[in-house]
Amino acid sequence: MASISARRLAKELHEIQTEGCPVGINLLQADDFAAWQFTIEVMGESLYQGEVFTLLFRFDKHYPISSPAVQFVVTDGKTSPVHPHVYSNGHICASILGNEWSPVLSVIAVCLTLQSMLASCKKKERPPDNDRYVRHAPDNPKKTQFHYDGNSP
Amino acid sequence: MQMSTGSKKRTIEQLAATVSDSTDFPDIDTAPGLRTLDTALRCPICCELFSGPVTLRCGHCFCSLCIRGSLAQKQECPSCRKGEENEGHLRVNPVVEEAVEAWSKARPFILQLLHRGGRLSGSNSSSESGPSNKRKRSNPDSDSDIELVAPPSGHKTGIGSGTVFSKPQEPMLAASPAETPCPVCGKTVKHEIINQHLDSGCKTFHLNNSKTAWSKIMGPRVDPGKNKQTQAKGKERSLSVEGEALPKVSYDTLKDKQIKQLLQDQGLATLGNRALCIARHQKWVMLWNSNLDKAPKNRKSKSQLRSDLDQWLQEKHESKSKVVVEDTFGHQKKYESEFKRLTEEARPKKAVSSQLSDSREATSSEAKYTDATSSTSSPVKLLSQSPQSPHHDGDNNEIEVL
Ligand SMILES: [Zn+2]
Ligand SMILES: [Zn+2]
Ligand SMILES: [Zn+2]
Repeated sequence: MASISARRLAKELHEIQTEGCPVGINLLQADDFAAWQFTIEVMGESLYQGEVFTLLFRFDKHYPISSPAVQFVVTDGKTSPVHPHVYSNGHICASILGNEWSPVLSVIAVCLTLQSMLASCKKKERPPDNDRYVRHAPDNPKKTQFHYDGNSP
Repeated sequence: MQMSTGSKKRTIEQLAATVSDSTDFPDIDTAPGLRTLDTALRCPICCELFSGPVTLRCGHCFCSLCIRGSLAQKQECPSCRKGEENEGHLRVNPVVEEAVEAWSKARPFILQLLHRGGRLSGSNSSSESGPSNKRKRSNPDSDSDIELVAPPSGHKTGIGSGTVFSKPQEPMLAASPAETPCPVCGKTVKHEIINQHLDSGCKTFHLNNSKTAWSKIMGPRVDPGKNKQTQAKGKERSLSVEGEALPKVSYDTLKDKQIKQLLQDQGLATLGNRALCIARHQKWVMLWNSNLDKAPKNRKSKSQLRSDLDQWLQEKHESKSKVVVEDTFGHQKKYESEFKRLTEEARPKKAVSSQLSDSREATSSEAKYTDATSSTSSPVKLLSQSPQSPHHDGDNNEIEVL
């Protein structure tokens, strides 16, 4: 019998494959229970018009109780969006990926939140501490404890 | 594929059961209400039909085991984020449990009707396995239980404590009032050990612990919230009786020996270091208490719970032996076959459309999205209770790299 996390991911994938992804989001690769990739773009007017990014999800055995590790892919010529919450190494400072994660959220829900994060961006710039962070950043963004506006525990 | 037809078929059936979800039903225009109903009866954490549904003070409902796991991580409702929730606040929800039970029977039947009526595409194999009851939820033995019932006495061979003797025995039965013929092996077994006997696969005929068995009969159904505040104080407190919730233990105050004693009292292995013993006991308390949140007839036997625990420990061990998230390749290899198996069935049935179904909308609660024509200038709002968009403290950009 498959584990809870495997079953849950199988259901999410099943739904993606039967119902499709929301507009601007496309499943690129989901060959296993460890890592999935999506392309994400902002539809309509935005600072990111015409740009397509790739999101990498990595899951551990406790998903969905534990959050997925999510980042933009910055290899193979891909880049992360220039955004005040996105580091140049692809790591994302988003509370729902950290202390605001809830097990009722899903992969698609995360995609949509990040899409709307990009859509509402007013100024294309990197986080002020980008260089310092990127120099010391762990491979897995979940190992970083980002500080969010007033929500940090 | 080189699999024999038999095992291949079994795999497919397993698969169909595995990926059953509300999209098995036609969309809202074709079959109003069915997807929504199916979604409503699913736990938002595991996305399975509720198993031992419990309700938090806010009214949100989850599988007992799922929410206990979630609360251990974070003491809030996963759906509305109302805080300060703990296991003591859980209330059983027998009405939902009954609805789920009825729905899990009606589901394959309805799918079959839809299939016959041509309302489902032929490729939807989950409907094919429908009538075979394969998708009956997490209680694999419940089917056989029903068959095992000795017709005249009318009782279930129940895994549930306290159910077996809820009705007086048929007076005409040959066995003396203190004994009953085992519905499985036919041998005469004493009343008070029939559960133990069945759990043992018809091997046990003698009582191990009369106190346990006695309370098995007399023990009242204990509210899941009760006893939570009480801490286990050594041996006596932790002598759990069937049908009684296990108290939460603060392990910090216990010596290794006492922790092993707790495990021993539950008939569990005491191998491993302190951390493993604690993890084992914690999980056992969770499994045990969530099992009690089910109606007696739906409960698992102690031996089933034990094998659930073993499986959990094994998975834990597997994920410990390598950091899964960082060993993508190894993980991939390991789960490749399982994944293939699970997803083969889920291959696109129709071209991936850009429209979103009503069911997803229901799944991710408040999620609302617009289609391509309406502009996204009004940002998508997701989970009304969660922050609209991630924030980054501009003034305080300190980052701790762990
Ligand atoms: Zn659940
Ligand atoms: Zn709630
Ligand atoms: Zn027997």
